[in-house]
Amino acid sequence: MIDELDWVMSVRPRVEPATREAQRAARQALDRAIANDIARSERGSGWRLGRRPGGGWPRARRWVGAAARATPAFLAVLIVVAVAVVALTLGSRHESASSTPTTDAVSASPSTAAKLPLGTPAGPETADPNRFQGAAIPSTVKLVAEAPDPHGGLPWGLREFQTTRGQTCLQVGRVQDGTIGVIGRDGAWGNDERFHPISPNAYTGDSCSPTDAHGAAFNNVAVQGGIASADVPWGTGAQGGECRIGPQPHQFPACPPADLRDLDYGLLGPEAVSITYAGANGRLFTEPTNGPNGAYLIVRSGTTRSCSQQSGGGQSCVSGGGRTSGPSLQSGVIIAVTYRNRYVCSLPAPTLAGVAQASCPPRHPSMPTDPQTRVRVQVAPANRYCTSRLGQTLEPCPNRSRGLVRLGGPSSQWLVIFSFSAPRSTVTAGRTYYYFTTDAPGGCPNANHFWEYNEAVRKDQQVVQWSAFDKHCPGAGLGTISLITSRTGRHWPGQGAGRPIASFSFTIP
Amino acid sequence: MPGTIPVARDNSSPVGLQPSVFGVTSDAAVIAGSVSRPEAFAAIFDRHFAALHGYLAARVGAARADDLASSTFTIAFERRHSFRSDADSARPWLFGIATNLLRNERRSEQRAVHLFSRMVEPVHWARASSDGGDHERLAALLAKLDPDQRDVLLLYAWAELSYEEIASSLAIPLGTVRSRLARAREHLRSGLGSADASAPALDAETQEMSE
Repeated sequence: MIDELDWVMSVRPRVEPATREAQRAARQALDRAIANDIARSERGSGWRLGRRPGGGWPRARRWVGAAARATPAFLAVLIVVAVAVVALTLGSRHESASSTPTTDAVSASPSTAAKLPLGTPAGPETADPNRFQGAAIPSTVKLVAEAPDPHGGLPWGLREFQTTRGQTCLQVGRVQDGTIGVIGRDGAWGNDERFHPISPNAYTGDSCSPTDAHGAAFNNVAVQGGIASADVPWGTGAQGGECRIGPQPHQFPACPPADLRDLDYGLLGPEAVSITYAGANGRLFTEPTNGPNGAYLIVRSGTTRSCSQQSGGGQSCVSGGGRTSGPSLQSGVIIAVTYRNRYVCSLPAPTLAGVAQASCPPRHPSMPTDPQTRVRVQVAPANRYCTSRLGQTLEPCPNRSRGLVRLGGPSSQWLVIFSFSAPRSTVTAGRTYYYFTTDAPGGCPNANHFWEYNEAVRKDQQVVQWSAFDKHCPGAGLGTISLITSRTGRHWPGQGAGRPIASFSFTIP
Repeated sequence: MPGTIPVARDNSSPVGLQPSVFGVTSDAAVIAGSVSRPEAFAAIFDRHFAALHGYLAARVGAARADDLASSTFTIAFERRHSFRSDADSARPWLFGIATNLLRNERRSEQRAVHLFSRMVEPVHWARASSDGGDHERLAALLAKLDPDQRDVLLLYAWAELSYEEIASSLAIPLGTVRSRLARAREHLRSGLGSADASAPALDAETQEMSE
């Protein structure tokens, strides 16, 4: 009882799978087609990734558009001029690179690195436009900085883009054909030695920061002990097997030291024009920032120990790599930021322990700021105040404080009480919340406080918060109130830059 | 001022990402993304090369299949702008491109069909017929089929595409798919001399379309 289709199915020849050589040849043919397409696209649009309206790139695009309409003779002249400019630019860059000891042995410039075959894209193709950081807006994706790798090969690049939720995000990776990606090595992607382009939606939470009312964003990321393949465990869709630095809690193989890199990158804002950083032998180098948001990228041979200043005071060191981020630039590799009006924010050179000792604020004084919220501040002996059992309310203590908790204790403290009218509502579950810092005069123990108010707040609701300081720390202190509009994936206090809505000062008697 | 907290590396996915999305992105989404980021198209190759190559090898032999499969993906990449966004899978589209390429390979295909008819092990034919000579006759019948009917028949039987997918793949109406398939089956049935009670009747839908 056989149907004709069964017969046809049964005579389907048993064929061997395509040989590896055949598959590789077919893939290479496709890769060539893709590369040609990218090259055509770049020739046609001037800068494939730089399409953000209002930024620095449209001017270049108009140039290319005008050139496309120009006569052949004009085009010829234009090409000659362009080649000369590129040659001069590359010459100066090479000169700069060759005198840059921080990149150790720069064995290959970006233009001479061998091209790798393309691999499967890394990271999720899509993201929910209404959750977390939102989805990348393709037209805003642009490569804003490049740096050579200290051991050669493909250069590194920094990509900047906007998301549907008002975030400005950064991605770092190796660069090929104007796109950043991960190299299949160090155990990643089965060591396939392919270039895996990173999806813009494969970003980590702390690589994003809110875009402020003036279109600026501030974020400074320092990665110590990153992997040379540019494989970032968070978000690139790495398939496992990649090496790790230091102790291996998840049974990952340890990276050889030569495969580690320290990365410093970020956005210093539109007013920042250059950075000065210290090379390995202490020599200083000054480089201009890139793009409309003052982007920078420094890549050095990797270290295995990371320390940073805790906002709550003291330092935290992580052996086995680390990552810091925030809107302020912490002292470390960069020792100065120069702004457009010649204002210079100086930072101390890093100590041997790599401890961050100071920071440049995200804005310098000439930059416009968002409207500030008025804050009422009061300083009083702490033992005159009580809170409810859960610490939700603060009120002057009656003589018999039944059901209340008296603050202060035997060694009485000063209480800094501040209140403000909420400029916008926030919701619980950490999507939006207010975030506070109070920094007492220097030299005090327990002098830096930070916390978040993870409660639903109505617009115009009066919010009262307080912070206790030791009585032996007289002097002026500073406080800030920020509005965090999206929480990052991990509940690190303050992770993810907030928009400052108020600052205030107080005096400890 | 938010703090700067060192974060130890680990393999956890941040809440802000959706790991489940990775790996299940539809072909349509990948191809749409490849319009602005051409390199993304490599994922289509990774997903469909083996199946497409197997189909082509069955029709024209491994040597020609290598070239044809390669050409199929190159052509698909160049025509990715025209991929229908409402189609979820790229499989019918790719097999359609491959079928067009096969039209230049008729002689190769006929040679391959005859060659395979002699190479197939008897055990594979036992299911089709107790008569070992039948498969040579079937191979000959396949080779003599009208090319359009053969394309539809083999896309259905060997590539395991549905009627709708074949229609999409060859850019022909669904009714044409059914009628071509019905005629191909009729041709085979009469050729094999099995148009008797032992062969199941055409399904009502196909029979209707074939009339």
